[in-house]
Amino acid sequence: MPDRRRRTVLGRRASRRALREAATGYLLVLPALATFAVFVFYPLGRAIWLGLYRTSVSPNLPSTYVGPSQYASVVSSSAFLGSLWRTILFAVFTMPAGIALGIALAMLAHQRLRGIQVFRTVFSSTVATSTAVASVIFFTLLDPQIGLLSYWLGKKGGAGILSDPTFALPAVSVVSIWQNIGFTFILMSAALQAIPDTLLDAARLDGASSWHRFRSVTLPLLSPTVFFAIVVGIIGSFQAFGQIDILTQGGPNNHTMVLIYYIYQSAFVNNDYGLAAVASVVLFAILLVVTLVQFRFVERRVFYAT
Amino acid sequence: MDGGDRPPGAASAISLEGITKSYGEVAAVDDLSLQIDPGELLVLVGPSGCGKSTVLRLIAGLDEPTAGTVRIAGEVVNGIDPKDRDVAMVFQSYALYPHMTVARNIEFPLRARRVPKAERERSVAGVARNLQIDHLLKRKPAALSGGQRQRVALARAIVRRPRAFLMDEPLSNLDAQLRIEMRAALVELQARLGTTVVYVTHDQVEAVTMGRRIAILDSGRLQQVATPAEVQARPANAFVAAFIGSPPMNVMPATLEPGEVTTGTQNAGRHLAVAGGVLPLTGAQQAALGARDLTTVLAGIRAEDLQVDPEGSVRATVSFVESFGAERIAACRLPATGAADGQLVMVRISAGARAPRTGEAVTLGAHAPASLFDPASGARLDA
Ligand SMILES: Nc1ncnc2c1ncn2[C@@H]1O[C@H](COP(=O)(O)OP(=O)(O)OP(=O)(O)O)[C@@H](O)[C@H]1O
Ligand SMILES: [Mg+2]
Repeated sequence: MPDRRRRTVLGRRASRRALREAATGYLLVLPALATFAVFVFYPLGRAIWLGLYRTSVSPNLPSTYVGPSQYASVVSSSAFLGSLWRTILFAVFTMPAGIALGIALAMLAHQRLRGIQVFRTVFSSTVATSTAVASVIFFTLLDPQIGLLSYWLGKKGGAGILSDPTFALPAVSVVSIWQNIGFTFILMSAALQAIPDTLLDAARLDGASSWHRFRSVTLPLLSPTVFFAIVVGIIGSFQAFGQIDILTQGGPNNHTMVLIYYIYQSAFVNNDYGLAAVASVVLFAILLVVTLVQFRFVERRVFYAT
Repeated sequence: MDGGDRPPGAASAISLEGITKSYGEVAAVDDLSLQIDPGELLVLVGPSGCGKSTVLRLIAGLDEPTAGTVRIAGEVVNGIDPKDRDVAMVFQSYALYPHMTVARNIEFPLRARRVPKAERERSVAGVARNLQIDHLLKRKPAALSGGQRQRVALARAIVRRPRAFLMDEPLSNLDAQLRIEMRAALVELQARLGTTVVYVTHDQVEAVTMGRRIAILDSGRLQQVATPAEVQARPANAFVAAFIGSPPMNVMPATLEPGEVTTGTQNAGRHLAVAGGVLPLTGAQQAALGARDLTTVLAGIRAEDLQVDPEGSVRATVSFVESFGAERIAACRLPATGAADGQLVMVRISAGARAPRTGEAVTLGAHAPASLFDPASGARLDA
């Protein structure tokens, strides 16, 4: 039947075209793929591999293969668990407060007032400040001898807030909130601008108080941005390094020893690469799981405008 | 008919007294006074940017006037919060809450006013049935058609039985067919509810078909308030003449002829000279012109008051003939005066009459007196 032959010829031609299209597609993502392979997948694979070897105490001796047992021993060690707990505390201190503050400032700056531009610039200025600069500013402000904040908080003299086991982590958290507020502010401001004014006008006529308007109109429409800020914020707080290195180096007495700083100390101060590799892989796994969980469960409560 | 210039009183549902709203230099609304009767459907019409939405926002309390008084049911509401003015607004964009279901949207004003749950549900169900959207209650606005969204917006406004509805071009996002249907549905609904409505549109056809009274606004200033028939027959000024009607009134410059002439079928008397011929003047018009000592005016005459007439008094050339259903309109060009092309005037071809051909030279006759406007201010001269 000529008809059927025609169809198979056509079919073959179509599949060849699909193949060619797929090849073009792969070619186009190749640069990105190569970059990821070199800088993400390969190091990740190496880290997992490295975690299977115990670094010897003496720097000249080769490391020995110990297998997955090193994962078990590191994960159950009190040093690791302690640092994980402090990381969680750090996230709890910085994230909700940071996002709430970002929304509050964005709401303030959303007002149509003369000179509001000045406030917008001030509120977003910390974006242009590096972690190092922010940390040095606060290091000075918290200095027990000359620091203004120490003076205001009645902590003048003595060892200082950053050396206080109770206040060191909260202090580092405040610096982190301050550093990130510009970014959160810009994010929330942009999201607020995207909410049509007529929606809030309609809610006013419908009789909603300003709090009711915020709760039932503004906040739900901000939810995709808030969700994004939470995901990015959790990842960010699990990776906060600079402020801790400059302000406390994990002290006093490990009270600011968060996971990432623990990894850094293990690898580059104690030269225990095996331990650091295990902790890194576990950190990666935790972030992966947390992010997946967020997309699976938290995102359900998010309203995306179509 | 009354022209809306009654003294402001407690009897009005909404009363605007000398309202001005300025944004820096520009006055979006300029010294506007307007009384709206209880249960009336008043249409506010004007070109884009003339201040229609601003007027509604001032009544609703979303903006405060720079000067003037707003009264609702006799009480001054300046400075009173929108929620305490008890008016509802339907926005051009509908302003439905996109994250809430239709039921939640309609329920929102009742929730905000802390109406008990059972009563809320009863009200929502009633209004939804009334507007035939009860099958949509569980959907989000994104899953609705334009017409359905419009009904939901209407339902949200109606559900709390406000003292007045303010509607800002509620039909402008619908297609032509649906718009005509919804126009009739809105008029019918308003009659049934008996609630005062201020209806804003830029579409003069919509204004003329929907309003018992229409208020025409231009550059923030009120031009005329009257019935559609009155506005068409006796436009208050040249702007209204050129804005209302399809086709709008022909407005052309004219000068008062020095002596009396007799032309064809027209009576002898003083005449107005226009490009291509003369138009007759009534005795009252001659007196009005004499009293003001004017020799140049703007003469306005509707297409239906002109006809192609071998005995006519104005020469013109037919440019094209348009048909709107049963109606035919000939666009005729008057002879050029000076450098510019001659003016186009619209002439209705009476039913059964032969339509002139394109390019044909014709004479036009007027079978009703022209409206005369002051050339400087545009104001009607025999007001
Ligand atoms: N918030 C504002 N700031 C400055 N000017 C404004 C503001 N709101 C309105 N205007 C100006 O006031 C005038 C009237 O605006 P308005 O929105 O009332 O017009 P409109 O008749 O509703 O027009 P449209 O038919 O296009 O909706 C316009 O010239 C507009 O630019
Ligand atoms: Mg408008």
